[in-house]
Amino acid sequence: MNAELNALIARLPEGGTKPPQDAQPAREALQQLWSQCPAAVPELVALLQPAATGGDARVRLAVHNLATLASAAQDQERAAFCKALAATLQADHPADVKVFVIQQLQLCGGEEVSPALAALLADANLGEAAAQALLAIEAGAAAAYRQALPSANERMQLVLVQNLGMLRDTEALALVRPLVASEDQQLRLTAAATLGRIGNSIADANTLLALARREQGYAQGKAVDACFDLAERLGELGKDAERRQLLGELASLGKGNYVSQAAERQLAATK
Amino acid sequence: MAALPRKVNRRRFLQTTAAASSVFGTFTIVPRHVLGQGQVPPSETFGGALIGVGGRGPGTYSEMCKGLNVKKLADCDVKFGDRADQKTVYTDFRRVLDRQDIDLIAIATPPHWHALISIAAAQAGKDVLCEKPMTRTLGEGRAVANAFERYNRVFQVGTFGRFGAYGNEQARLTHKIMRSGLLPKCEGVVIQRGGVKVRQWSGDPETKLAEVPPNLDWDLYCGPSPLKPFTPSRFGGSHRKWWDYDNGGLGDMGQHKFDPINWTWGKDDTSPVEIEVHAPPAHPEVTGMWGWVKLKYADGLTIVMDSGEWGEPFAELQPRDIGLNDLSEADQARLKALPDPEPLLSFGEAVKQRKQAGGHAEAAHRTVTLLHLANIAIRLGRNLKYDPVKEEFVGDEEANRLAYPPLRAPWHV
Repeated sequence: MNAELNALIARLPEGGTKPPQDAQPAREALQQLWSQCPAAVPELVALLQPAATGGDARVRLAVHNLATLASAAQDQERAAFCKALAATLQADHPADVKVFVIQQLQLCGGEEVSPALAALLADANLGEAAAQALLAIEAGAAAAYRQALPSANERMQLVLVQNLGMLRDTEALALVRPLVASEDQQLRLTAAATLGRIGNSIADANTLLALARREQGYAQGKAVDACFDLAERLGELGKDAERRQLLGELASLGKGNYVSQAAERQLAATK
Repeated sequence: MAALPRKVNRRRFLQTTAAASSVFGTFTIVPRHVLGQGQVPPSETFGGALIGVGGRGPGTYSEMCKGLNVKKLADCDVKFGDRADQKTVYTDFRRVLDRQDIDLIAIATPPHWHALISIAAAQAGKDVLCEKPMTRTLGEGRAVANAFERYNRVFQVGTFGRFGAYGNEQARLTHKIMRSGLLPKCEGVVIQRGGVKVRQWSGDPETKLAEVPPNLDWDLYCGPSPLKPFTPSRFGGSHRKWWDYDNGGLGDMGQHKFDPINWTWGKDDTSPVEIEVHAPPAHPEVTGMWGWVKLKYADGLTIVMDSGEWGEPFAELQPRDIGLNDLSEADQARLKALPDPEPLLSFGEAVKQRKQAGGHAEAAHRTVTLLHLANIAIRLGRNLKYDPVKEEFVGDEEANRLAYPPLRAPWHV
C-alpha cells in the first residue's frame, strides 16, 4: 500500500457530524490525491469496504470528492479519471463497492465509460446502478437500453423502459408499444408513461386512451397523465389535429370533472 | 442531464367552475364536494387521508383540516405491515389514492416521497397539504408545480410563515416595492443566521447494518431512492441525515426560514443566479456541516444562509432592508397608486373557493429551490451559476446531475 496515499487519506475528515475544523487542509489533501490520479484510483478503490464491514468513511469521502474534482477538471483529465474508475469494475471487489463506484461515475462520467456501464446492464447486482449512471451520462444509454431490453428480467424491464422514456428515445417505440398491454400493471403503466413521452401518432393516443378507460383509481390517473404528455408531444411535433383529437377525447371523459376541464383548458389555450 | 420536467410559464391557476374529486369511474361522476358556482357549502364534509403517520403526521393532518369539515377515512404508512386492513389502514399510498371518497391528502412521509405522492394525488383529483420540505430534489419541485397546474388542484406546503409576513406592514411594503417593477436594482441583503439544525441533522458516516423490521416495507420506503441495505438511522426521523431521503437540517428546516423571505422579497416566480459557498468536503451519503451560502438574484437581492454551526461567521455584508427611500418621489407616487398585495388564502379557504393557496406549488418550489441550490453547492464545494428560467446550472454538468437525479423505477417525475 502506498504510504503517501494513506497519509493523505488520514488528513481527510470522515464527514457528517465529524467535519474538519478548517476546510483548507482537507481540500489541499484532496488536491494532492487528485494529482496522483488516475494512477492511484485502483489503490483507492481497493480500500473501499462493503457496507456490512464499514470503517472506510474517509476513503468514501476521498473517492467521492475526487469525482467532484474530476467533474470540474479539463475534459481529458476527467475522462482519464473516469476510465480508471470504470476499470476497477473489472476487478474482484464486493458488489456494493462496485455500486458505489458506479454511483460516482453517475456524477462525473461521460461517454468514455458508457461501454463499461452498458456491459453491466445484464448483471444481477450491478445492472440497475449501471442503468441509472447511463441515464445521467446519456451518451450511449438509449442504444444500450434497447439492446438489453429483450433479455431483461422483470425488474430491469421496468428500469429500462422508464429510462428510455426519460431519454425520449423514439427509436424505442417498437419495443415499448407492446408493453402497454402487459399483464403486469407496473410494467404497462411504466410503458404508458414512456409512450406518452415518445409516441407520435393517433394510434398511440388510442392505445393510451384505451388504457385510461380500463384502469381504475391511481392507475387511471397515471394512464390519463400519459395521454396529456402525448398531447403535448404531438403539439411539439406539429401534429395539431392529432393533439386536438386526443384532447377532445380526454375532454369527453367524465364531463365536468377535473380531467375533462384540464383538457378543455388546453384546447382553449390554443384556439 | 436527461429529460428535465417541462417548464411552464407563469402559473395559471384557474378558478373556473367546479372540479371533481374522482377521475371518471363511470365517466359521469358529479363532483361530490363542489356544488353550484364552484363554492362549497359550509356544511360539506370532505374525506381526508394521512399518508406518512410519523412524527409530523398528526400536525400536518390537523393543518389540512383547519376551517374544513373533514372526516378521516384512511391512515397510510409503510410501517403498518402488521395492521393494514385495506379499509382504513394502508401501507401503500396508491390504494389510498384509489378511493374516490377521499378528497384531501395530508402528506407527512420523508421528503423523498413528497413529490411523487403529491403528483399522484393531483392526477387522482385530490387536493394536497404536503409537509415541508416540498421536495428532495430540484427537478421534483418543477414536476409538482406542473402537475398542479395541469389538473388545477390545490396545493399548500406545510409551512405558514408567509402568512405571518403578509400580516407585517414592512414586509407587505417590501413585497409591493419588489413586485412593482419600480426598483430595477435591488440593494437588499437578508442574512439568516442559525435555526436550521445543521449538526442535529448531520449524519454519522459509520452506521451498522441491521435486519429490516418485520412490519416495514423497506422497498416501498426507499421508493424512488436507491435501494440500500437497511440501517436504523435511515428510518424514523433520522432519515434527515441521508441525502437519499432529505437534505440535512437546511433541507428540512429551511422552508420554514426562507418561505416568508421569499414572499416578502417577491421571489415566488424566480430564483438566484449565483451561489457562493463556504463548506468542508462533503460525504457522499450522509449530510454534514457547512458554514455559509450566499445566493444572489439577477436584480441584486442577496440572501445569506449562515449556519452559525461551523467555520467563521459570514461577515462580508450586513443586512439591508429596502423602503420608500429607495424610490424616487415620482415612483413613490406610482407605487401608492398600485394595489396592495392580495391576501394569502389558507388551504381550507383555497379548497372551498377553488383558488390558489398562499403556499402554492410554484411558490413552494421557488423557496425549496433556494435550499437545493445551497445544498448542491455544499455537496460540490464550489460556487455555481444558475439559470432561473431554464432551471439549470450554467456550465456545471455535475450540479445538474444532482439537481435532476434518476429515480428508481417505477417511480418517476
